[in-house]
Amino acid sequence: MPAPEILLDVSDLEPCEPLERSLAAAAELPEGRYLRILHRREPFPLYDLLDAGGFRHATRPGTITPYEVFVWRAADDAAAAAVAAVLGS
Amino acid sequence: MIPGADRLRFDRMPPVRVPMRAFLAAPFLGAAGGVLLAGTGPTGRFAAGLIGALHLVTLGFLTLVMVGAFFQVLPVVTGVPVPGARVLGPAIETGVGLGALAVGFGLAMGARSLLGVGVVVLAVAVAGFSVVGLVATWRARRNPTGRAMGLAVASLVVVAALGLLLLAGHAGWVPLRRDLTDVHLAWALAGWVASLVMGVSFQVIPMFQVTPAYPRWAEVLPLVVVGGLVVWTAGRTAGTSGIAVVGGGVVAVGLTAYAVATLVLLARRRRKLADVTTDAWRVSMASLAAVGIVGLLALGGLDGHGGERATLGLGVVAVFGFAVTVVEGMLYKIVPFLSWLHLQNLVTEHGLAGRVRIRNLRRLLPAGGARRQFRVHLLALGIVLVAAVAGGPWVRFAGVALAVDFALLGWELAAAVRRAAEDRAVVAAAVAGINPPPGS
Repeated sequence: MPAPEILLDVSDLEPCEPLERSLAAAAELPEGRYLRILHRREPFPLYDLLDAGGFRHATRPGTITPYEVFVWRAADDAAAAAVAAVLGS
Repeated sequence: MIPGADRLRFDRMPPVRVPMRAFLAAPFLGAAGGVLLAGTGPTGRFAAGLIGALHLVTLGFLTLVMVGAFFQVLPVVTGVPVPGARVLGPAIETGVGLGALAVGFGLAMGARSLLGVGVVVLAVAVAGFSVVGLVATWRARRNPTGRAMGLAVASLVVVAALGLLLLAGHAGWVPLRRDLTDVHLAWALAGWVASLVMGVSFQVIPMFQVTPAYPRWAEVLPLVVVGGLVVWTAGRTAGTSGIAVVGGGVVAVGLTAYAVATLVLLARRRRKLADVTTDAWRVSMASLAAVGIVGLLALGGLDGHGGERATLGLGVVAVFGFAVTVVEGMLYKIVPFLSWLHLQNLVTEHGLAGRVRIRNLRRLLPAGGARRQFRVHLLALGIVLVAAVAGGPWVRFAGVALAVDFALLGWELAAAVRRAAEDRAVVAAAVAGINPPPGS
């Protein structure tokens, strides 16, 4: 079984590429997996689009980049549990 | 490091038409300045055709774009909206645009009644902008960008007061005070333009050019420059050359330090991809550093003979090399970005995310056209510089080059907005499909 995390580093991209690539990667998320996006700014406009698209998200300060955004499908309990395990650790 | 805004407040933006109409109209007013220069072929620093053409560029292009950008950037970066932006914004922009046309052609043609109308329209527009601008920037004074923009608007008040006095002189209402021309020019370029560019750059350079943040000390540079202008002006007015030299030196050092800090940041971009806006920033900052260094040498008496030709050449580097270049470069980012953001908001608002595809920035304004126009701009800059030094037929040639430069810019920006309109029609059709009209 593949690791649940899919890593996406958009920290070197200029607007609006981080948002576009994040949305595209979220749209292709398979069952049971989540996205960890490495960002240099907190992507507030992305949140509204994720909410509208049926995704959940959580953000924490990053170690490699200033922000890490976790994204998973609202109906995907396995992915939600995997994110909770990472954020809880 | 100057921190980026905690949160860019896109929800506080004015309607997209408020900045966009200024951004789209401004290049064509700049082109009119080029036509005026080509048509009149002025010789000498105080030739009517040159002063008229210059004001079409500085008011019609630079100031109109800067006013539009002010209404857009201040609320997004600081969260403080400009009072009455929805109604006052378009009215002020219309006043600046029409006032610039009337003043530019009135000056060039010696048409006193046209000039008089222009003076009144411009005075009302700039006064209105100054009031709402000072109120908004006072509320946003805790933010480095807000403070720099406040200093810019305060400088504009000085520029406008001196400009109105000079225009009244040209209109024959009061004696013409030529000795105030340099003071007017210095406050316009170092106060109004440079402070606003600095304030905006503290946010947009790290964001769009993907660089580290500006060092914290850069935050005080707008205050240093405007403070230096105050001392320089006081020294000149009082006839105390020592004080004027100190003030002028502070201005020159402040501008040069800012230009060098920006060039260092641009050298530290995280992705070294070719980008027209980055190149425009480089040319602009190199020009600003050159103006600052030559200004310092002139203050120290090391400039050799100087004279009118050298002054004109330095003015060309300041106005076209620094100011026009950076504003053109920023328009190539901000116009497609605003168009895209507006489209993206429409898509989200109607729950069409993932169901309707809209163009991204690169497809709204392809790099090829922008790169071609930028090359024309560099060529025009060179020709205008030669015209300033050599004079003669080069002046008319420079006017044609400027007209082509600005018209091409306007064409490229209008094409981006036209593509965005096509995408908006696609979104509207999708919305109509989701919510078909009753009875269909």
